[in-house]
This record gives sequence, structure tokens and C-alpha cells, in this order.
Amino acid sequence: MKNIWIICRKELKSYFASPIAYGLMAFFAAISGYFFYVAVAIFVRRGMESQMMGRGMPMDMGEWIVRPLLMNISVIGLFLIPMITMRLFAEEKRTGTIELLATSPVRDIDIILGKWLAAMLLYLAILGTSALNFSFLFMYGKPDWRPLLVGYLGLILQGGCLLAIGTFLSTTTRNQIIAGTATFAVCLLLWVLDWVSSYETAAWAQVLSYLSVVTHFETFAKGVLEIKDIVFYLSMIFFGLFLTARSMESLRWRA
Amino acid sequence: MKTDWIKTRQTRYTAYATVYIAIILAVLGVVNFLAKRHTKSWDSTANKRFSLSDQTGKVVKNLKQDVRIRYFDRTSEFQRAKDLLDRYDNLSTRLSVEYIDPDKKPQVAKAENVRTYGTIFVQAGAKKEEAKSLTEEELTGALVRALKSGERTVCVVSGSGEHSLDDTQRTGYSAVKEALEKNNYKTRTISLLGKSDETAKPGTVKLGEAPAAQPAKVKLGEAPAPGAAAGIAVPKDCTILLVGGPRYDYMEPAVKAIQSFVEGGGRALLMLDPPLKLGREETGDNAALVKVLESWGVTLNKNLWSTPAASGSFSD
Repeated sequence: MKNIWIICRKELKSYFASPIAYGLMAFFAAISGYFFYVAVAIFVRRGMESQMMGRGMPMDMGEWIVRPLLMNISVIGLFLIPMITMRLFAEEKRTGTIELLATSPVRDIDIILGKWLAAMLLYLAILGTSALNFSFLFMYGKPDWRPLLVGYLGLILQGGCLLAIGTFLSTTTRNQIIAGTATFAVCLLLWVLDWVSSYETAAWAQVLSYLSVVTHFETFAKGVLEIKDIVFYLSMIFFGLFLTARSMESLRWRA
Repeated sequence: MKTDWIKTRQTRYTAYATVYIAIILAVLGVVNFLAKRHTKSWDSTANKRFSLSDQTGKVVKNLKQDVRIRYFDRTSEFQRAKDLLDRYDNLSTRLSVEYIDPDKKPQVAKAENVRTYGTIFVQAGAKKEEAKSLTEEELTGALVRALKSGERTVCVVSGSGEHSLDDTQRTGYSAVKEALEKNNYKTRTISLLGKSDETAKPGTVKLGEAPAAQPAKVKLGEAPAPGAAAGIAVPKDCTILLVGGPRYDYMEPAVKAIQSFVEGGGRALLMLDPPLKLGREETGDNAALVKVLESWGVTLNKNLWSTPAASGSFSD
């Protein structure tokens, strides 16, 4: 347990010592801030229009701001996560410190969990910058806070899932760019697998669509906690880390 | 023979790793499948926007047969429908939902006789009901109707100048008959006139006669019970009684029959044309029937005028 934490701290230090963490947080804050502004502007304009027309439209902040905003933030995550995970193992393989790590008296699983946890904590820090936006909603209104929390839980779980996959892909190569590109491609694929359900309802299409992270995030964005979605994300995290473990193991017997 | 590679350590370990991964993948697949079938959800919104009501839950959980809901609409509207229909889907494994785009699958749409976008069909076994709109009330209502066994009959009273179901002219009710049958109701014409004649022609000037002279039972369509009460009554297999604009007044026996039917739990739709005395076609006041209505607390106002104008507003 202690080992995990040591490795995690080491990784975090290297993230925050370099411009990576700050750059990612800055860009994410800027983009999510822009999305937030646009969502609120549309909301306000809608409110004024409905007032002028005399029709009372249900002005539900959750429905019109929180939900689309959470969906947008999860898409930004798609681009963010490859940046976070690409250097986790690829850098070590390039600089040769992987041999040092693999032969040290630390279990493989500790290394993997430590690195994944560091990536998760960085992702949480980045998500935290978007929380500032939502606090504006609370200052000037009374939005429902529970669906917001559920939405963030969804973001965290989805991030964990994609980060685990990114960690695995990072172990496959020594070139960070390839690792990053591969992670991005896989994340994008998982994202668009949902599209197949829009034109095909056969069993295989349902399976494919179930694999998509979008299908499961949508319920979180609505504010509904479903067991099947939590199970999906947890099993994907487990699978991603499991594959990483196999990959690390293969380091030892590959030529 | 260069088969040494099969025996090397690398091949062995690769094989181990592949099998291990495959097994774990299968286990995860089963776990997720079970989770999807038996999922529980918790709606954290304050007004429970995304949950279904308890009644719906009760109806769906007690399903004894498989029910299929089919939603026909453009693909872009699927997301909105999924918000509601997925809740139904998750309640029971016996309920399945299909989303069909009539543009992409025209044969299916044609087979189900789909005319507009946004049609919803609930099918339980052989019965198919349509939900008029994408709301929980409509869907659960259609579900309940589709599950109800037994037929529902609309008994249309005739013999006093009512609009006839077979009349295809402007004042006829042939369109009503069509609409009823499309919604799985059977229609039947009955007479409350004390005659056992089932097909009393409209416009006959037979006003209700005191049935005392006639011991004939008027329970139409049923085997005559020897000791049946001699009197006019609405047949018991009528689910709904339809009085469609009688021109002549109902006599006491007929009105009493209607009253006892409704007070005994039956349902009636009473439509009374305004008592215009326009020379050629006189419509009676039907005072006896109006009095029974008042005894139930319903006042018949003769002054509502509704026009199918674009604004859809009523004016007196």
C-alpha cells in the first residue's frame, strides 16, 4: 500500500514539475469556461424569449445547462486523457528506467496502481477547474446539486476507465507520440461505437453500443445512478489495469 | 522441422497470457450482462424527472407475458424517446423496446401501418394498442389496455333517431365506428325500446312503450334465461354505452335502464344534440334523460360552440 503511494507521489511530482499539468489545467479551464458561458447565454436568451412570447417555459437549469455542459466536458476528456497517460510508461521505456523499476522490490501491481492513481489525481485536479464554473450557478440561482454530483461521479468514473486504457497503451511502446495517438484512437472508437445503435437494433449492434462510454455517461449526466453503468465503468477500469499487468509481465519474458 | 518456436518460452507465455485475457474478458462480459438485466437505478433529481410512477412499476413488474413497445420516429428523435422508454425497458426483462426509423425500415413501418412520426405501439401477445403521445400516462394506459383480457364492446343505442354507425353521410357515425374498431373495441347496436328487434332502423317513430305488456326479454345476444327480469336493460356484456344524439325523447323505461347501468358500474357516453327545432328535423329535449343527468350532478348546458379553428379556442 505504501509503495503505491510512493510511486503515485513520484509521478505526480514529475507531472507538476513540468508544464504538463499546468498546461492541461489551463487549456481545460479555458475551454470548459467557454462552454459554460455559451450554455448560460443560450439559457438566458431562451428565458427572455419565452417571457416576451408570454409562454411560460420550464426553466430548468439542470436540463439546459448542467446536462449539456457535462456532456461537453466528457468530450474534452477524450482529448485530455491521451495527453495525461502517454508518458506514464512510454517515457520510462525510452529512458531505460523501466528496467530499474521492474527489478526493484516493488510488485508489478503496485507500480501500475501507483501510476494510474497519479493520472487519476491529475485528472481530478483538471476537473476541479470546471467546478468553479458551476459555483457561479449556485451563487445566482438554486440548481439541483444532486444531479450535478452524480454527473461528476460519472465524469470521474469515465475518466478512470479511459485512463486505465491509456495506461495500458502506454506500456506497449517506447514512443510517447504513438502511445498518445493510440490512446486517442481507442477513446474515440469507444465514443462513436454508440452511433451504430442509431441505425441498427440487432443483437450485435446492441452489444457494440453497450461498449461505448457515451451510452453509460448519458445516464450520469441526467442525474440517474444506475448500477449497470457503475459496473460497466468499474469493469473497464479493471480490464484496462489487468491488460497493463499482462503487458508488464510480458516485459520479463520477451526477448 | 522448424517447429521449435512452438516449444519456446515465449510462445508458452503468450499462450498463457492470451487464455488468461480471454477468460477475464468472458467473466467481465457475464458480469456486465447480469448487471444490465438486473439493474437498479436511483434518480437524484428533485422532482424525479427520470423515474416512473409506482403504478407503472406495479403494472410492469407483474407482467406475465412478453410485451414489446415499438417506437417509430426519425433517428434524431430517438434520444428524447430513450429518456422515457429506457426506463420501461429496465423495469422488467419481459418488456422490450424497439426504436425503428420508418425512413430506414419502410417495410416494417408499412406492416405496422404507421402513418406519422412518433407513433408508439404497445403489443402484448396478439393485442396491439397505440399510445397517443410520448408520456408515461399514455404508455402505461396503452400497456394496461393491451394486457386486459376480454373484449370491450361499445353498445350504441338506436331506435330513437340516433346517429347511426352505418351512416356514412356527414351526420353519420361511420367514422366513429372505424375509430372504435381501430382501438380494439367491438361495436354493437342495441335498442332500448322494449322490442327484441336488434336492427331497429333509425328514424322509426317508435317511442318507448311500456314493456309490461311484453314479457319478451330484451337481453340481446345472450341465451335467454328462463326467469329473466321482464324489462328493458342494457346488456351485461356492454363495456360502454353510447348514446349518440337521439332525435326523439327517451321514455322512462329506457332512461331507467341507462340509469341502472351506469349506477351499477357501467360506463356511458351520452352525446345530446342541441334541441334545435329547425322545422325539418326536430330534436327533442329529452327531458327524462336530462333529469337523470342532473341527478348525477351533471348539468346539460346547451350553449357551447366549438369550432375546429386554428386557435383551438372555445367561445360561448
